[in-house]
Amino acid sequence: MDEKRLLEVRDLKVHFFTDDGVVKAVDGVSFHVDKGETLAVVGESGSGKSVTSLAIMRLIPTPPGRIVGGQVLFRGKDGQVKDLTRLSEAEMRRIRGNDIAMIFQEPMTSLNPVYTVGDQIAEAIMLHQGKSRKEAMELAAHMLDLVGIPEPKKRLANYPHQMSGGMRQRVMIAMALSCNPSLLIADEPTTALDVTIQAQILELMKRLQEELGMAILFITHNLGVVAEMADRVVVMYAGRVVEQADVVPLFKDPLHPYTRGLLHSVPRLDLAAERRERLEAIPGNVPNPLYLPPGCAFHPRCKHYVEGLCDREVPPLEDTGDGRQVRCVRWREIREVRA
Amino acid sequence: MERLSSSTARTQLVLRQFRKHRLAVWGGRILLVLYLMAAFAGFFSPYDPNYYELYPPKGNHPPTRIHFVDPETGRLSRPFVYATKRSIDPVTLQPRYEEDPSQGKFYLRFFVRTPDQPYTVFKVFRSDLRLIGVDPPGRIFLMGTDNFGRDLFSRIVYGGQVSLTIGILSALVSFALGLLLGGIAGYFSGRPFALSLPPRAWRGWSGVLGLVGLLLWLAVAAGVLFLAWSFVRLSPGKGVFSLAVDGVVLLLGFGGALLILWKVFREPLKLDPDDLIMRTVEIIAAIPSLFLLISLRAVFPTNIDPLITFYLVVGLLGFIGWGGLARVVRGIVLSVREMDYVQAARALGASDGRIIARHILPATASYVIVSLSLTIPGFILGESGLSFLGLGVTEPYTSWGLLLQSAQQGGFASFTDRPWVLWPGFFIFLSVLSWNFLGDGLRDALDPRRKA
Amino acid sequence: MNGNHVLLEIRDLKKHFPIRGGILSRVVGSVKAVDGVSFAIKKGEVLGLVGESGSGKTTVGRTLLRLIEPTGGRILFDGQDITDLPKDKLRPYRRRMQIIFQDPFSSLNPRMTVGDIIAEPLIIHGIGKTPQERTERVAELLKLVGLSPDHMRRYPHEFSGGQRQRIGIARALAVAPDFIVADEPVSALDVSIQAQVVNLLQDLKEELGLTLLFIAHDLAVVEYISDRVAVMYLGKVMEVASSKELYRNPKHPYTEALLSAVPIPDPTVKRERIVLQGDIPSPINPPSGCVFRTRCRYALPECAQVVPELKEVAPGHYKACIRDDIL
Repeated sequence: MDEKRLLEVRDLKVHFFTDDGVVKAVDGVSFHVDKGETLAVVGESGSGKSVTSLAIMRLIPTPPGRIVGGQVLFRGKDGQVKDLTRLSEAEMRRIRGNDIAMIFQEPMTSLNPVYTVGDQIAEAIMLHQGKSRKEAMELAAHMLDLVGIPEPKKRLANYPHQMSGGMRQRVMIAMALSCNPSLLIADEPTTALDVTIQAQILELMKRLQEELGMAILFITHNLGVVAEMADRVVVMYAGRVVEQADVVPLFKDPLHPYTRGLLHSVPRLDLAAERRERLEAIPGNVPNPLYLPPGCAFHPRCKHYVEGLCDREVPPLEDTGDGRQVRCVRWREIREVRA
Repeated sequence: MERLSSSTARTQLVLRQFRKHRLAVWGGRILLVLYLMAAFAGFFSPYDPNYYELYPPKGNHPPTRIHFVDPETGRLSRPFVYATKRSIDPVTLQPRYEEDPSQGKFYLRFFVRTPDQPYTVFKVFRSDLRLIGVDPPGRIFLMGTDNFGRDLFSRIVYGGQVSLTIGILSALVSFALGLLLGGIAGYFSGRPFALSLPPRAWRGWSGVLGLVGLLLWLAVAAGVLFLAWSFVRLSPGKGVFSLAVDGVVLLLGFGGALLILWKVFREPLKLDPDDLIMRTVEIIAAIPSLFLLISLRAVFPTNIDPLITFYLVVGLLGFIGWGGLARVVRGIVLSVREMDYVQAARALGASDGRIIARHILPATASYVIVSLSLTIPGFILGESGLSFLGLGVTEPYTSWGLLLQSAQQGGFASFTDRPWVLWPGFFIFLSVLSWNFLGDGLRDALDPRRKA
Repeated sequence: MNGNHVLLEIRDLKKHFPIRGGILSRVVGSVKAVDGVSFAIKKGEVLGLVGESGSGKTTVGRTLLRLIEPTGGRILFDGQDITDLPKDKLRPYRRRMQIIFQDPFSSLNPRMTVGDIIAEPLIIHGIGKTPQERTERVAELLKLVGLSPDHMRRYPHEFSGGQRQRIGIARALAVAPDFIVADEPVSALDVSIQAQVVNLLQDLKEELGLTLLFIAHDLAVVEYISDRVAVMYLGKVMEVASSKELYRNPKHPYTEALLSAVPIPDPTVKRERIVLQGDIPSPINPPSGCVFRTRCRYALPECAQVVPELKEVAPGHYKACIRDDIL
């Protein structure tokens, strides 16, 4: 693995075995995260973005889910590259929280309501760094200060319910970063928050990344947040990566019809004054993961669909030559027409 | 999350889930057999439950041994039994029974008629057809006899009629109460009704009602005053202390009456039905249920018609059991009441009745079904307990609890000398366990989270 | 149609939820969810109502439909004061005012078929005498919202979020209302589905001449669909203006901050962001004077003294702020 690579996911497959059949939630996903960069994984419900992040952490509920194939290569703090899918549960526990930390969408439910905030942060520190309780508490106060919580020493004694949603998410971030992980997985961290609070949390994450240098794997459905946070973007649809590119070219020149449709379907405040026509909606529904359409899973909703071409085989994820990848048999035509 | 758009009907889904729970399926099958036996008790029991012979007496007869091998030829034969000879043990003075091959073999026969012991099915159809039997004077006691010589198996089958139906009937009574009161508490929570209306709010019909209400409250105030006066009049009235008590009571009486009048004239007295019902539930729940059951039972005489006793037990069990259900139903109703689809119905101008019938009650259905199946075994045990204490059903009716009670007559020795008298206990155990398994299975199958 | 005809007006609407405590459940305080809100919606107009959680926007929507009883103020629908109308007198108005909900999963009764759900309003109001007539009407409504009449016999759980939202819209349209409160109708939907529902609402509005109160926290969507926008904060209206004017030229410090907080889906756009400090104060104990002053970067000592009135600062542009020297 390349020296600057921190995480490399190769052909990851996560299937859920339900009464109604096998759900291929993640079906051959590959991407990488470099040290210190922010990779955004964008997708709607059922795209497999959250399952991917849980699979990296090996937190897939088993049964019904299971990682059925692929590798998750990760460079630990000691410089060694390990395949996380092959580690024992005990080895994995040393990675979680210490090397890779995670924050979730619901700051209400991801904190234990019966322990103080201080106890919960200190616990993680004591577990991974072998510090005494006193040292851990001091570090916890330092972390709260770092994430911009006023009067951190006092706040350590608070219970989660005594804090607002935004405060709780700050506590979650403090807890996640307390062991100085090299990768932070943020699964829709601002979705449950109000816009003004979301702005605070995004600013905070950017600042902390500058100060601490960790890489961020940012899972979201919000394209605005992606544009603001990401260095590179992976777009997922129905369990597969459909496009991968740096953030600026992706927004400027989306190659996959789904990415394009997604960008055009959201109303934009900054263009409000000029434009007043209808939104370009993507027709149809997000497919049922049990009965995915054959061939390209997006073809029933795609305006570039060609019968006999798109509905036969799953198109390969092609390199476009300029560091981008796209999973569409017609990407060259689409690019030419636009140019 | 995107929902799965399979068109499998809801009931099919539930059935499929249920079938996966093997214990529950077995529970259901066992219950089916038990209830069929109770329904067609005459057919399944070899004898009338109250039939016994005076001579020769058959009291405390052990279960009859059924022979499959002919001792003369040593070969397999049609099942048969021998008649028994009774003797008295010289040490324990208990009867002993020995097989008496000299009277010949009595072959086990199916679908026999017993013209001397007719029975009715559901009190309508007369019959004397029985599943198994042997020709007299041979007798077959599958589970032995009681101290009178009555066939225990027949009595158990008939006892099942009482024990098994009392469970269901009491559950229905308590569910009717629980659903109604819990539903009212939940739906009308936060909408207190007026117990009185002050004169300044009287308009039209509310004025008439207000006047009636006011008169009632005046009567209540007068009653309070009268109580205080009665206390003073009846007290011995000697000594300073007694006089002081009289004075305080009279003062309290006046104060209370004035307070009531002042209240009802000034502002409407409002009572939230939720508070009223839930506090009642809490009070009932605070009294130990067996104690409550016994003291309630003690209110009624013991020497009343056995059938009335049966319904009394049903009523009592139902009365102590509704609280828990009412509490949960209230909770469900409170949460469903705030669901958007109920708000949508309100926005459409639907009446309270329509909202309750179409939107709220159906939401409690799966909980009620599960809860019902888990409550019934409790009532079966309750009946056994009451009958065991001699407060339940009485002769000539019988029930498993009553059978167990007569089993323990004779002290511990009765269990060691005549272990077959414990068979009713086994049936209680079997039915309670089966209901519980069935309830578990239903809960898992109907649990909405499973399909989410 | 008279363009200036006011269909719905609320005046100084208030809703305070009592907080009970102690063993006697006495009222120990109140949540001032809506605290003196006034606005008017003209016939055929879409008024957007934006605000963050706790701003009281949803309560306004439910109170003006009398799904929640107001604590104070007046509600006027088509010139008639409906604030105190008893239930039976209110029923004709229930036919004219409808609501669409945010959560497409809790707004449809899971135990009823789609046909029954849409037919319920018809039964309640006696529209369509026979079951066949009603079935025809339900089929029409399903087609109107872009679903197939075959869907009638299915249950809500068989549909996706976007389809369920369409069913909810069909139910609201069944009584042919003049006015609809759309309470966050797209915020629970996937991004690619949101646009479909927004477009549908816009088409229906034009086809049927509907008047809409569009409640949402997503400023971009509100700006897109609304003619005018009212911004709420902590139970009060901070600013009202036409949607173009509001975005181009926000006059209230809160609107300014709110707009700058919305992330723009374009990585090349770089702008100065105003990050508001702290959290929204509790509506049990709102700040004195201007409720926004605790997070406002322009706040003066006077802001704690006076409750600012909503006043016209430009034609059709109102704001509740005492500082006229800013923005």
